[in-house]
Amino acid sequence: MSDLLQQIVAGLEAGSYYALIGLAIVVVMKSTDVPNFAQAEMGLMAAYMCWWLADGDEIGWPFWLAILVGFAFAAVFGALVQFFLIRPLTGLSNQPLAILAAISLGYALIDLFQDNGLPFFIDWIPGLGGGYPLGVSLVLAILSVPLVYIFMKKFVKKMDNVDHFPLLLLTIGLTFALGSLIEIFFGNQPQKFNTPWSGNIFNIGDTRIGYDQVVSIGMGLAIAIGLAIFFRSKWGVRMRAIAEDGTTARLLGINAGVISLLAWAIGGLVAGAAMTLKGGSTVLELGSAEGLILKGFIAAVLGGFVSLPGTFIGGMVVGVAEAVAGGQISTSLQPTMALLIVVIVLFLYPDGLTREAKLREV
Amino acid sequence: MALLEKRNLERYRTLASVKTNSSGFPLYPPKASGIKGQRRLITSTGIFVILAFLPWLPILGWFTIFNPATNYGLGNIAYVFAYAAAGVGFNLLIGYSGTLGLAHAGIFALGAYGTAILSAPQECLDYDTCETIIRPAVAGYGWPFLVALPVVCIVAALIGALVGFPAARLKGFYLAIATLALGELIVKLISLDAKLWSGLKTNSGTGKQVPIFELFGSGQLKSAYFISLASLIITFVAYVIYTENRLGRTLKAVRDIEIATGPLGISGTYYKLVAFGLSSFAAAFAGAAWAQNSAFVNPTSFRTRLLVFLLVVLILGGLGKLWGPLIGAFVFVYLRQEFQDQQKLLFFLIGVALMLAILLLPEGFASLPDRMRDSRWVQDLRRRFKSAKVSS
Amino acid sequence: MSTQEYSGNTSSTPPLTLDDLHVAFGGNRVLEGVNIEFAPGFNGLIGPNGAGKTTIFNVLSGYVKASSGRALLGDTDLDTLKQTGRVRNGICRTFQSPKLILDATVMENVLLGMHTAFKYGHASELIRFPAQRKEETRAREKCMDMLEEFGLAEDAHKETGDLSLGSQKIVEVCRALVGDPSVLLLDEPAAGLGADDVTILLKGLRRIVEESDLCLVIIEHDLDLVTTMCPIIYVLHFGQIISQGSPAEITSDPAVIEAYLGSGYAEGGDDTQGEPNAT
Repeated sequence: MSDLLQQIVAGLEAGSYYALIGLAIVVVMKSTDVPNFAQAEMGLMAAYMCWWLADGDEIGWPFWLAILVGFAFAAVFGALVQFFLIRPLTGLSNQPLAILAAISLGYALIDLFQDNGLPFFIDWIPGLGGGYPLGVSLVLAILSVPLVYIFMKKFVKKMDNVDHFPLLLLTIGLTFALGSLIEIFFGNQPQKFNTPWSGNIFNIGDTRIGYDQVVSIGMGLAIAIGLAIFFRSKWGVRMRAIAEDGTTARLLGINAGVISLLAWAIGGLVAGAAMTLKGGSTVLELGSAEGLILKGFIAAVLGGFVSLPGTFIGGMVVGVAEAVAGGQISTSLQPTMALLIVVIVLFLYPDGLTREAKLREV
Repeated sequence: MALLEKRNLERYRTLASVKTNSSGFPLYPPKASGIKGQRRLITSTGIFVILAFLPWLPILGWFTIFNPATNYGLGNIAYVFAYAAAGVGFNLLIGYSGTLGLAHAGIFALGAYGTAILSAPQECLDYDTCETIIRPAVAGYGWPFLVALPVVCIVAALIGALVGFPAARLKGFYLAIATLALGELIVKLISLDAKLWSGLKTNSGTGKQVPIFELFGSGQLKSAYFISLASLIITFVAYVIYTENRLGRTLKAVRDIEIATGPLGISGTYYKLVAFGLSSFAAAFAGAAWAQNSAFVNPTSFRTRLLVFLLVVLILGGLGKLWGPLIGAFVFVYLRQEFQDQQKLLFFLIGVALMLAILLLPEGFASLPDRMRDSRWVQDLRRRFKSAKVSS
Repeated sequence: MSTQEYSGNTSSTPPLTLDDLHVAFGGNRVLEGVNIEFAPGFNGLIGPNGAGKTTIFNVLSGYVKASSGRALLGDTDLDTLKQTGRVRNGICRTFQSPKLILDATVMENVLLGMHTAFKYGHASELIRFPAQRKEETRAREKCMDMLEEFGLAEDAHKETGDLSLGSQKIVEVCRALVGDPSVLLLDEPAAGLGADDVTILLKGLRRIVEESDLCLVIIEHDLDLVTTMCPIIYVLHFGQIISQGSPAEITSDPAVIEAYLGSGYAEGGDDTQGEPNAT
């Protein structure tokens, strides 16, 4: 019996992570119509940021300060991603992207020219191979910046009405890129993120429940409720308006640009909270996002991509089902449980669990 | 009669054997006569012939990664073929019939594992009595590889169609998630070691050694190379034939005008299943070839990351374009090998490449020539160049 | 009600019958007790927007299920046929906005109409034995002949997206016709067509009707066109047939005038004195 309770608690904990990621996905999807495969990875970046601020070797900030700044970072980062990467694809300006690309490439090129000279397909020409001195590299890089800017401005398509598929692919690319950035900045060792309540356990009968588990579940619930309240507020209503009918909403004076930034900021924040909680409770490692994102999508599917409560419950159900099935029936069932659930659900409810779900066809 | 003759002459100056209807209108789009009309056939055959003789050709020596004289280079090229073959199947599914079926990696795994276990020598079928300490050989059912291959491919095609079954009712994004989950499920099932795969022995951890099939005794590596090339050629030819004929038309109809297909007698569901089945056949074939090349299979090689690689191959090369998968596969394998020791940078580049592909080249590298030709910028340049030439 | 005279038809069963057809979506009753026996030849179906005309087509082509009543294709109850099985029984349709593959050629689009006529399966496409190739050739000949009939033979190998909307609509008609239907439903075929195109369309249709006793049902809003084309016209209003008969009969029917035509029509088009519609 204690086993079952233990599994349920573990399931609720895992479920709250799934639910939170799912909620982030749904918020972003509902307001900007982008299936963000990189949501978990973005959250992971924020989680690493929190850890680095608090536990990292160089900076030893107080826990709550680190969390505050880290979460702020999560929100800002989310907005930045929307601003630079997603905007061009939604018919808005591609200028920020062009600028970003030009500058980052310029910066990278300095190093590249120093180390490798020109790319492989011409480096076998005698004399052009090998690295260049700093001065030459710098000049070449600076020369390329305007070229890159013009190139990007001219060729990045400002597509209106992009299907989900290219956006999904874009975010998949983002996932990879972010994953590597995390590794580059923070190393690839799993990290223990110490929270004020780490390691503390209390007992209900024979069951051992960790404080961090309770915190995760509690925070998950709190955030879900917070989101529900938010969406009834002024900004929330505007967000829903943009999602349902962008054109009309814009005609009514709702600023789609600001709303999109806000939505992605919220998504980033929620995902960041999820990954931080997970990092604090279990371990902070590079692969955590990869495992979570699909389950986040599954939770979103269970909520029809529209209903926040549905997503939350969906995530919890998956978590608990996984843990209980894994514990009670067979361990090999655990990794497959989430997949089975989504397959069965989609088979029975081809339109998702909510009637209102209107997904564009890809 | 005279009018008809005149029309005939007018239209058929070039070829005498063009099929026409009774009034002389051509039934097929008019092609240039002789060699020019067969341009694509000749180019493709030429390319494939060169590829077939590549191990013995002294070209590409400067290109370390793909140098056919070395085992390393030859193996890489074989990987390119395998990925490209899988990509061709993927192209048919996503590019041509517009169905978002993301279980491809799972089917690829099926091909690899399936052929491995069926063709492994029958040393030890009773799991419990076999020793599992370091064994160089694996134990399986002892089928000849060339028999196992088509069987596995056909079974994979059926399973693929089964995976595609939700496609009957699911749209776009939901279908993507469902098939993604199913694909993962397949890989998870494969790695449920003991119970299901009692024939295949462990090498280390969960990896299994693949029994290599030697083609005409030409050595393991070359055999793998030719099997990979064969997988590419066969899928390529089938792709071309199908897309040019009735199946291609029908798939396009299902993609573009699905709502109108019912009254035309075309069952959207059936054709989506056909697309799933055919693409799965290709994926399994490619997977089998890949396994021959890598000589080692491990469930982790087939997880979602592989699916993303396949997507990258497809998108970089160009969705819906004929040579897209091959180009994409080359670029991908090149990147992977070039930056092998800098894994972090590698995945960063792949991520950025994918993002750039979506932002800049939604139609992939293969469309570069067309896009450059069509872009106003280039046309401007050309005009100015011409007028400069004239005036000088 | 005048009946249409034509040659060749000896069977007594009308090619298309609507028998007390009711269609409701939720509480919204779209068709109420529609009874029509369509005869071979040109049949017009007119009425204000929202009257239910396209719904009738949708029931016949399998998009919508009737809540009660039947639709009969000859003797066959259409309810017993799946949507994909209907074309084999000889009923085809076009759509208000043409549903064509824009990046395929015109010929390829028309060939889609012959899909059910192909006997050899797709596996044979890989092997291409002579009988299969001949089948494809004959199919293409038929499609080309049809395109020629409607003046599009020269465009046969152009990309469909490059054609004007009017031509595209004619391509859709060709696609529907190559299936040799006994019943053809045309949804506003002349909308967006220039006068020349309309003439060609009509000429082609007339010839085919003459040769094969095709039963045509045409939804149209252009009244001059309908009264010229169709010897019988059915008028639908709020889901019910309020009038049927020859052009002269329905244009002078007060119910029709009130619901749809406007009192100006009966006076020869001058409605400066006309009263506003009572609908």
